[in-house]
Amino acid sequence: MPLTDEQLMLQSQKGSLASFELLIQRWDKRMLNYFFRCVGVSVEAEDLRQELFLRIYVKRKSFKGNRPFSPWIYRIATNLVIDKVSRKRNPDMCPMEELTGSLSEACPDSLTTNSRSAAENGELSRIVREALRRIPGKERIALVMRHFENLNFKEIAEVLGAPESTIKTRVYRGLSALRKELKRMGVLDIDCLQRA
Amino acid sequence: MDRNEFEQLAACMLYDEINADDRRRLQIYLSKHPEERIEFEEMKKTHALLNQLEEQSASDIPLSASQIAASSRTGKSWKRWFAAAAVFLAFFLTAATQGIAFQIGEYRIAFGPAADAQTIREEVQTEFASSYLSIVEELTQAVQKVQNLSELTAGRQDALDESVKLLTFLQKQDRRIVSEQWKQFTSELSLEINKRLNQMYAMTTQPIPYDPKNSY
Repeated sequence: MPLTDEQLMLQSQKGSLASFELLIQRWDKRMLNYFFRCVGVSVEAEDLRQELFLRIYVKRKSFKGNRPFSPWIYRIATNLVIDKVSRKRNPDMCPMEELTGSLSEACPDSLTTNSRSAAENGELSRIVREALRRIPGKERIALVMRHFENLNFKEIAEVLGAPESTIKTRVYRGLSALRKELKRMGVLDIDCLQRA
Repeated sequence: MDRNEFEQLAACMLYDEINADDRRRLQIYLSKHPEERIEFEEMKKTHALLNQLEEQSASDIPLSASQIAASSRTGKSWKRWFAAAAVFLAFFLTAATQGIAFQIGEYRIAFGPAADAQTIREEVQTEFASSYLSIVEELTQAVQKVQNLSELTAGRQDALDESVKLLTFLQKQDRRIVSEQWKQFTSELSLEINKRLNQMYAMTTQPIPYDPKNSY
């Protein structure tokens, strides 16, 4: 039976690098994607991922074995994201033309067909990611946690240290802001995409 | 139901975290509020759109535990430097308030409040006298010895030079004196002889002058 994350952390506390390696393997990609969605820039996400595991390694003794690992790692990760976002006063926004070009041209023809290619889906992912970057930080983090990381409202509330009701409001408003942003970017006809 | 409650229930509905009672309440609310119903329908579409997206990774480069452990050691090294700097700062503050002085060879570093110039001068003099006076005395004596020897040597040399000069002069003078004296002597002698001859031969009015060259 495989060891739980909590057990691996306890072994890491005792100096087992192999356990820490296993923990990284389990969480690396997930955390990288979380950062990627939160900050929207691949290089920054990779930096944050490295910083996250470095912090976990350095602070491994502060982890309490009787508490779940998932909220603990997300709390550290989210603090890193908040630091990053707050430091970055003037984020280098992706030019609108660059985002709109391919999809606005492609939407009427290709995206309405049932055979939408992976490349087009990838392009849509890129645009949604950029739209995510443009919505307020708190709503963005809550939405990413709920929708993409699949944490429930209670877990998000625990990670962010906010009431559950606040998290629900943030997720809803984040989704609403994302929709408005996609419309404002002029690249999304949701009805058109839904038919696809 | 106010706006906040609507948003919270709508979020629960979208993510299927809603109980039966709340679901019913929301449905009743939406049926009575067409604007919110349209909004909720659009939100459902956005939610569905996000579900269609493929997982995208920022990178496929894996991270290793050894890499992280190495990075953490770099961090520890930095922390050690920071600790060393903190210790130095504490020492400096203590020294500045309490006064500390230490000396390595001839170099001296002192921390603390400065005394007035007179006190410092006296302290330095006392310190100097206690530490270096004997050395300075020995050095002075050695210098004097060297000077004396030099003077002596120089004096001897001068005296020798003078002696040589004097001797040369005397030799010259001697020769000159001897010849001069001889001339004078012969001259005086001839005068004396003439004088006596005049006394002996007083009748001679014109005595024959004595000339040693013509003597027998």
